[in-house]
Amino acid sequence: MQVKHPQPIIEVQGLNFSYGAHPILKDISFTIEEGDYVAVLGPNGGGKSTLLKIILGLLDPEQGSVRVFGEGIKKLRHRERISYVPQRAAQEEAQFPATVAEVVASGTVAGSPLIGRTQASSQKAVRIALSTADIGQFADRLVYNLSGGERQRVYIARALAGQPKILVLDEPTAGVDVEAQQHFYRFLKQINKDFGLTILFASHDIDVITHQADTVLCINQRLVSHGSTDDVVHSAAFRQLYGAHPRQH
Amino acid sequence: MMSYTARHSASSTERIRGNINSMFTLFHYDFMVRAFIAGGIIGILAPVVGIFLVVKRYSLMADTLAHISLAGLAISALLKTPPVITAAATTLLASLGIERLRATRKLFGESILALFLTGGLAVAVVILSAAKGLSGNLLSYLFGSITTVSRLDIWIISTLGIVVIGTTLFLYRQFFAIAFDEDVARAQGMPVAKLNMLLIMMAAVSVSLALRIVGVLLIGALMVIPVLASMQFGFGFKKTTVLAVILSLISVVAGLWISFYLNFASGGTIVLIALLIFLGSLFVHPGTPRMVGKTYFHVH
Repeated sequence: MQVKHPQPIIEVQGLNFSYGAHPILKDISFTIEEGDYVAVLGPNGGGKSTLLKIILGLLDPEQGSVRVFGEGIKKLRHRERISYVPQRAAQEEAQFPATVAEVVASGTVAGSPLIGRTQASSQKAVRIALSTADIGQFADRLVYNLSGGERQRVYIARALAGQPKILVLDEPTAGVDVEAQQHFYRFLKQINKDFGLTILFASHDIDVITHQADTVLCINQRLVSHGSTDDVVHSAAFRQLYGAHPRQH
Repeated sequence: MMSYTARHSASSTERIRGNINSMFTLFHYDFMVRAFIAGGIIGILAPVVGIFLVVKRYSLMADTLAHISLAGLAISALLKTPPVITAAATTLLASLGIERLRATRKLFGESILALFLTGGLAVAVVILSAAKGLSGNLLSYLFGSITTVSRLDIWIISTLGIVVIGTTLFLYRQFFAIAFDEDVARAQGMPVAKLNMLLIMMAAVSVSLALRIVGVLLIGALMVIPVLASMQFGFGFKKTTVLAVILSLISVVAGLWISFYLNFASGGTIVLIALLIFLGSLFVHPGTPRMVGKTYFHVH
């Protein structure tokens, strides 16, 4: 029987980025394979969000390359295969008159053709996404009336409605209480397993990450350490950045 | 022989019928029929485009474009070109400039609007002062005048109005997606810059079409106030849009009616009614209680 090896899905090579004279990322290189559940860990200002934005094609690197599905990110066709849940403040949606169902449905727009779009398949994708994120009961409620944790589920459902292959999340649990964070990351793990979805999320919360992610990419402007969670937390570079971690004891 | 009660009842009925007839005498005038047709199209157009401006926090965009259209009107008076078309062309050109400048992210959004708003006004003032005698019709454009809507205006307003409403409805899901979250839309490969440009161009056309009815100084209000009133009801995006159109049409129809009988400026009357509706909407409580004590995630 032939063993199927996972394919590299994101390849980052020699990435450099700075805001003016202030360097943010220096010579970052790594590969993420299909189906990986990866945490990007690092201190505030370490370049996590910038790295994700470069991978998504929202920022252009000064040097280096990003290849997704084997193609350069800027020339990538069918970009709807990537879904993004940005870091956001609650006030951004304040008073935006949109129901949960409308927001989740907006996740199907990028992948739908302008003419002759199949409304039925979009609606089915929305129903599945609502049910997967367990927010079917909120479908008709306004997004700005939901709590932070509930809203986060709406954004995940929107991302899933586009039926992506890669899900990128930037500080997805910012402003969400600890118990809800644990539920959230278990939920991410579940969809990673159930749908074979490659998940890449940024966080500065070491505890959550080391207990939930399979692979950790630790960056602090430079790539500090990359590998399985155990390998990273036991690495000298990681200990130098964070000190001894409770998981090691 | 008729009894007193029967005679009284018959005269009351005639009086009511007379009153109702006199209420509709305005339709005996061609210019009022034209004003209602144009007003109806603008009543739909303004909130349909306006809701996207409001949720994208571009509420001042309509006002800026309106001031630029004033420069277009001054150019039209100078060159003797059709006012609505010239105003539309000028605002379209300016809208391209606004969006280009906004995309560079070198200036704050509201600073760009302030630049174009004052620039448009300055151009208009200079042209009008340099070429004396051009300002005859200016007041009607500033505040709206229902008597000035010509047959040609109706054709232009209907044609362009249907194009703008049709385009907005056709791209409704795309405009919603970029209005809710531009970064997510961009990450998924949507042509965000082109859609933004198209939206602002449609706002530019809408502003130019509404000049005759609402006037330069008040068109911004018609694009924004019905939307703000509708948002107080706590509906989703689609229902909010539909309600905003209904409130806008009520404002336009009632405003035209009142301005005809009381000889008020149509634009001001329409906007005052829209404001009254908005004030009323502030007393609406949408009844959307927050859920509390719910576990956020369940993994099955």
